[in-house]
Amino acid sequence: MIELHGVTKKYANQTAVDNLSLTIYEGEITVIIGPSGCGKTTTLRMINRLINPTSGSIKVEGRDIKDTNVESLRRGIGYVIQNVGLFPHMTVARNIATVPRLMGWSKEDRLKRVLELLDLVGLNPEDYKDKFPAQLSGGEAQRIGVARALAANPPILLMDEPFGAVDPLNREVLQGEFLKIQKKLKKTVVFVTHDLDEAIRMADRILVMKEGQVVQYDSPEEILSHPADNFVRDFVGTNRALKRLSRFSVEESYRKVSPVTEEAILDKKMIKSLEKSEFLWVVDYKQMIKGWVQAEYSEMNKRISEVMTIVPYNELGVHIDDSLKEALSKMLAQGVRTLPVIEKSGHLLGEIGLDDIQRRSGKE
Amino acid sequence: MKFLLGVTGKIVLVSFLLVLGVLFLSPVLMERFLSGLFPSLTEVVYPRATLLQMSGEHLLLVAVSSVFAIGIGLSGGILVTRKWGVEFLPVVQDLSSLVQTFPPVAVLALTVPLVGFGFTPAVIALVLYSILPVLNNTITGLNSVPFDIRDAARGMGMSPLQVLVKIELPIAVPVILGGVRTSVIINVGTATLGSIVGAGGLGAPIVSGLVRNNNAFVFQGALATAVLALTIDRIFAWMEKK
Repeated sequence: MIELHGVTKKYANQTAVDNLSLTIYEGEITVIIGPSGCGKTTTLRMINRLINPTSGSIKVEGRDIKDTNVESLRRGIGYVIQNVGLFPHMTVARNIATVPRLMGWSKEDRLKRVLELLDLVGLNPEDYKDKFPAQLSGGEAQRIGVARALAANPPILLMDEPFGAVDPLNREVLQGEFLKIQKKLKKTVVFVTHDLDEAIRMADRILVMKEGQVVQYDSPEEILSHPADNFVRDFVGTNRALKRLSRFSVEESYRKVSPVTEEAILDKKMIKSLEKSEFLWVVDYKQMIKGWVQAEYSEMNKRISEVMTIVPYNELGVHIDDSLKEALSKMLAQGVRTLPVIEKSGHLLGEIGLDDIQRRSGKE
Repeated sequence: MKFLLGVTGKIVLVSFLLVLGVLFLSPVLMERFLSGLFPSLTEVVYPRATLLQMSGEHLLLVAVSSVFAIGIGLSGGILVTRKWGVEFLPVVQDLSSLVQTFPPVAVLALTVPLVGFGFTPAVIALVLYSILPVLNNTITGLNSVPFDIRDAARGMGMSPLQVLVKIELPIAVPVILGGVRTSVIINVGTATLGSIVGAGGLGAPIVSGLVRNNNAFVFQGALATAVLALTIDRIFAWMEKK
């Protein structure tokens, strides 16, 4: 838990943060959002004393941070920044082991932790541990940045626009992966962004700031459905229903299906199910998706392989971790009302329809 | 083509240095070589010390003065790039440029009355003259470390000293080494002036040759200095590659 009491930060002629009091709850992702210059980054950087407040006090886990040694305070708080700040002269493994090394862990413990973390952030440890930062893509570097912040297993993570420098497509992937990690680790996360979609997707609680003050501090649902004032309403924008979709994952909304194999012969049961749903999904013996059969091409007693459309699995369908917003945009892009739901490996899990999405967005 | 040029360039350089090495080590061969070049002179080999001895003195002058120059330049550069030392930046930079505009001969003339003849005034002049490249490159190198990298290092709980030693200096090393290289090479050339105040070195045959109008003396001193400078430069180039 992080508590701020009447925290103010003044620079020569302006007030960056103005008498801010709030509680950041344990195990939650608290997203601080607002226009540039609203004081969100200043607030974040005061928590690990990279900036010292002009007045007021901050308590981390009940202790006033002014009374703790600044270095040990920071070693206990993971820190991720927009441009990652990986050390260019160190390998990925050394970068990740920075805080454990500062804390005097043994070499074996450090290596074990590095391998564990690379695995956690979805990079093959053997391929990546000896690489240098210059050899990494933006997305990979950012994953290493997260791994480095988690290295000494700190209870708190401070993230300053961590996915801001990554292209939009990769950003959504990284967000999804981070949420998955957070589900397991339950860290207290303070996350600064100016991207509302990101805030809605990531946050358990959103803190909207303006000119150094809190405008609204609420759950994303509340912010979307009951904006505190015109500033928040404008900030949230008009397509609120669409934004809400990014909070739901395909996992919660898809339906199981009974797929067919290429060798099967179209029978009455299959024709019947094609009347109900748009497609009949075709898989191989390992349940890997191969393609589909559409109603207009189906004909009694034909072999599936004669009437199916074959599509490589990575061009087809949505992943189980995708958000409903991603599913909807894929439907619009491909002009269909139903998409198969697959695992990254290509295993068919089920399907999701436009009506499933509508149901979900209308409910809350 | 570029590769071929690089290889032949290396072969030429190495064989050149080899030939010179043989000449250096064998006074007889050296004498024959110089008599061939300067047939009108009766005495062609500088008599008071061998080239090897003088090269040794020369290297000692360069080494001692470079150690001081690197020490002063590096610590000055670190000082003015710290948060609390930034105010000194303009003063330090002006001072070192000012010193650079002083001709070393003038520095020698000023220091001899204070510390006497010999090794010391030569070292003082050399040190003053070679601080600037190290200092400037240290400042440039340290300032080129991106803010995000320093911010990440501090945010993860490194002390200011750890940030300097583990992050900033290693990243700035290539640039700093470039300054050290320049400074040492300048020193190799400038150290020839040391003989004026009796510090010996490869300047001795040059000065003596100029006084006695013996071009063979001047030639061997200048040649040896050039070879020394080239060799040291190659060593630095090799170090920078590593």
